[in-house]
Amino acid sequence: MNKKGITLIEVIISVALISLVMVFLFNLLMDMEYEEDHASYAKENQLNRAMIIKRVQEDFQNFELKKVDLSLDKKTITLTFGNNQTKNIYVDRKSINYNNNEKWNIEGNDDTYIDISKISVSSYLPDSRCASLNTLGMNCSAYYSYRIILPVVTGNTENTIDDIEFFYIGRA
Amino acid sequence: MKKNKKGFVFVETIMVTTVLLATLMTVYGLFITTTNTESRYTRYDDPAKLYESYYLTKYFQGFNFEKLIENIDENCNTLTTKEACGANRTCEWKNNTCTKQFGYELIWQGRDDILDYTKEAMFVDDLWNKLNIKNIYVIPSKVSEVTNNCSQSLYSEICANPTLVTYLKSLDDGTPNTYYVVYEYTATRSGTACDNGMSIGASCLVYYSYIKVGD
Repeated sequence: MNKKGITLIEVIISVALISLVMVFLFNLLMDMEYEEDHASYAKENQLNRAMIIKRVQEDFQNFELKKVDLSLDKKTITLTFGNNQTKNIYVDRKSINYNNNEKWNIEGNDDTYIDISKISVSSYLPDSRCASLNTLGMNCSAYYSYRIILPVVTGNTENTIDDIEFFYIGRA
Repeated sequence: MKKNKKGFVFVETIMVTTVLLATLMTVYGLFITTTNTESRYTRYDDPAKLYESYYLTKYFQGFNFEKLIENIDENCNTLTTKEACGANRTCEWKNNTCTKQFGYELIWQGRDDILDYTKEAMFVDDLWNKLNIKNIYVIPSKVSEVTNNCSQSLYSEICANPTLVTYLKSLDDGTPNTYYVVYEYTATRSGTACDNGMSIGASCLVYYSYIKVGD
């Protein structure tokens, strides 16, 4: 019977190779766990986000958005429509309330919230003299646009857009 | 019965480890490819981008948008003069004949024949910058013909963009006389514009959406 066993160097090489396999396996499992976490948060966020965007954009389309005002504390966005109706978007750290009758909570863990300080409304508005300039044959676009961004901070470092954005192009 | 007490020899251990390593590397490679593909799908047809694309298309339709469709549908062979051929961006005058050069159209920022850019310059520039628009393609909605015929020069510019081809493959084949206006947006992970010279990749991401136009 061969009673030599294996030498120390053989043990070291074997352990090194098995360690390499284990590192790969560990990485794979860690990646899978991260993807699983990410997918569940992303799914909750994205569903919610899609509903909010759809609801507000429907009003933009149906009633023609005319004007957007952002309050000083950035917590209230007032939308003025073509029929002179106004609707407000009230923004809280963890929720969005549309015109006091529809409310959506921001899903996810404690790290998921709306960064109120970074809420922005950007616009391109035609010059008030535009109509008369156009009549005189001078160049001036009659269109206007509004873009409202509610930045949503999440633990999601992947590629989904978490911010809630509304956009509109209208003709003055 | 005589019991075999030899166990594994060193060579056997190395062989088993090598096979295991190779298998795991393959699995890992597949896993990474799948997650990359999935994360790319999350950048397709995002609701906010869809609404942006809808309003952009509506805006373009207020100008000479129909010309793009006419250009795509133009039978270049029937144009017998160099001038008539040259008037259509999708045709090319070569060896005294007019031949089809592109099977699709593009809308770029300063495209005056489509957008009335002289008048709309400031508004259009603002849109392009605000929305981080990279490219806008108008293509026949039978996208399988585009993606399956990448060897044809008609779609060379589209086919040179593999991320766009992957996106097109995810779209349904449309009906005749309908077209897809495909929007390509770029942005960093935080949603800001990619810096000039920043290549598409880990820090500068591409987003796609489309609007169907036509019959």
